[in-house]
Amino acid sequence: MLEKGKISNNQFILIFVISRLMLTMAYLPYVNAPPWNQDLWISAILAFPIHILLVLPVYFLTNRFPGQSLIQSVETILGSWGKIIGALYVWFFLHRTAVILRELGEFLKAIPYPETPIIVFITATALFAAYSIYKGLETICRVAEIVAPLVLASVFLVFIMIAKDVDIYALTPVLEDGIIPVIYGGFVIAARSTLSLFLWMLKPFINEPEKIRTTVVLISLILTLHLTPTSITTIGVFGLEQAKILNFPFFHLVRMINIGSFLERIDALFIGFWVLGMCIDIAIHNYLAVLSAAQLLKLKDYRPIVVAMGTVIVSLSILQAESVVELNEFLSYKVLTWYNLFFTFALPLLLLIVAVIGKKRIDYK
Amino acid sequence: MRKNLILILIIIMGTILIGCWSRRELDTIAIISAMGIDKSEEEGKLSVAFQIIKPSELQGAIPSGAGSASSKGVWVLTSTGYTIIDAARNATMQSDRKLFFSQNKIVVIGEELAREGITPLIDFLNRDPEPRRTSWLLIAKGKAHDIISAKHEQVNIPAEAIENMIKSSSATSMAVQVNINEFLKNLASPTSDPIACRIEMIQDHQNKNQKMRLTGASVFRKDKLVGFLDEHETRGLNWILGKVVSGIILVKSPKDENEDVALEIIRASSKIIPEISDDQIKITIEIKEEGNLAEQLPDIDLTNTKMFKELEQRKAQVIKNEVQSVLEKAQKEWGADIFGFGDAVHRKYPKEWKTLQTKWRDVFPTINVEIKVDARLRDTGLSSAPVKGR
Repeated sequence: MLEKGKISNNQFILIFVISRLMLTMAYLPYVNAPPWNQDLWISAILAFPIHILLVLPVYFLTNRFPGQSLIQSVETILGSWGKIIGALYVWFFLHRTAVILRELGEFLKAIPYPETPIIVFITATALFAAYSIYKGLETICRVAEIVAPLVLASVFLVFIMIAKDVDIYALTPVLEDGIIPVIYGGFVIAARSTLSLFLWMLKPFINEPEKIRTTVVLISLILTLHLTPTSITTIGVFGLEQAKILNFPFFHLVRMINIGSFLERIDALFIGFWVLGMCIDIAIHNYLAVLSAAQLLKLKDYRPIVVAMGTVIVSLSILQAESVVELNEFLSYKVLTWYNLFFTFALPLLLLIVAVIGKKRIDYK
Repeated sequence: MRKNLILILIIIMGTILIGCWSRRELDTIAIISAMGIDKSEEEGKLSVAFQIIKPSELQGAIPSGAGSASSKGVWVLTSTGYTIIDAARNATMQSDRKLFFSQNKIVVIGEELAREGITPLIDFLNRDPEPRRTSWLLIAKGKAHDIISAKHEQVNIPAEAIENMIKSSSATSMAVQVNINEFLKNLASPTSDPIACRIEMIQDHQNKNQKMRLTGASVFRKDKLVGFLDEHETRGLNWILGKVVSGIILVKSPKDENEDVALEIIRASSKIIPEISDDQIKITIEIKEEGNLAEQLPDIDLTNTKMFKELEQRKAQVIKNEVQSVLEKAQKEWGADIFGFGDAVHRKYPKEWKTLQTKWRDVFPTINVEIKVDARLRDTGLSSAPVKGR
């Protein structure tokens, strides 16, 4: 075993929620996706069941191959061909870490530090991530256990403090263009999540795998509880058209907070919490990239490749896009939805079918 | 162990010290409290006046103390450029510090410039990370420079005075409270037209000083200023928008047409109800108001039910007139949907709206508007009848 640590189900919930929410909060990419109108909050609610549906193939796979992570079970199913699929997944994690790093950098560069080169943020955060990977999965999750409640609570506090500025009429008329675009929108939101891959990689280390169903539902629920108010407040405060053109709607939302002329300008505080959350986000993604690579290469210890992988990730995050416009092109719903879906849903579904046909499974003991 | 310590040190320093990169110390920035934008005399150029806070002048002074206002707490710097940021950067040639926009509270735009469209001016405020969307947007009748360089007797920083004037305008409901966010929201909305505050310099006859005064609202069609509303028309607008908080309504006394009775507004609300029948749009504005008897000049007892009813009716008529006057101007004269009628129709008739949306500008002036006012009088204040001399 590469990783000897165990994490609790609650830690798994927190670490996933944090890593899913932080970027979405800051960039709110799905405002510029279907349904393109004020029904966005309904989409956010509909994402709840769709999100669970998208996890199903991996759920069955992990039941079929208990104790095996993504890379290992792919090899069990496909034999040596599995290495190619495994390599694809290593790329996916690697690339995703690079994207998140870049987005962290772009945010910090756009607002508090306009004159600082982006590579400074990226290297600093990558160093932090590398250090935490040396300490192992348990450490990352314990940090998440401290940070996540703080961050989630502060996000909720923002909703409460901005509530008086929300124009609820901006959300009407409801279902103007029918239900189809709204469902599509929910699908886009759900497809951004990589829960299935987290589950596949980390389930061997979860200490109560039999309770995983509750865990998945809880994760989806917490996500919905955050994304729905986010959509409502953003559209309610800025109006639909403005919400679409703002680069960081949630940050602007925090800036709008003004309670009794004394509780205002708390955006610096928000950036602090956000960076905390983002560090966890990057650490866990980087960890998954390193772990999957080590499993693919059948190493005895993943520590030797941490720095090497870190270097690749830092370079990749700089090189992947010339500018923020190019980055946003990849992150738009037209590309990312299908790119993500291929790895989180389509490929696992295919593997499940192959496994069922080939009657491959691992029995307990 | 030592290796670990060094590693930890590097990480801590790496994460903490990058915060110093784009640092800006207080003594290297010129904090702007208000900015005014006008057309420059040079063709195509903007002239921007920045009201810069002088921290040294504010030292020891009571922030809003009356006596300290003689020394001016701000310095007005005027700079020209082809865009706002161009002008702001050109300003550094005259200032020893770089301008800092985060504390900017007031944006004033000159009338002449506003008539040509203000989208190009607003973009900077929306794109740059420093300015806030909570700054108030005012249109100056006349030049914005005059507003920026005007003094205020009560406070050292005139921008604070303007901000407080806007905030306390709810006592009369005769001005609008519009910040950048509100303006942009209405500007970007496909249905409605934006409004902004209106400010001007008025002559004080006694000591020939000029003073700033909020004098209503300014109305836009798309991003171009089309006209101003005076104070009563502005309250008419606020009646429709349901934004009347408080204020005084003057009605003629039923017994003596030359005398005034002042009625205080306690609470008010409004509803815009659209109705489409036979392709004809009809909008009903329902205004509900409740108030007190605040002051009466004549020596007549008005405190019986019959008189109360009469006063209520007269009050309703005053409200109706105010609403009518703003409708007349905005709907018939300018064709600017500042009332949110389009939104109301969109909300109630989403299907019909699809065809209406493209021709809304043509449809809007032809809409039938009915005003229903339900004005109530509840209280007489602390005395039941006026003071009588014998």
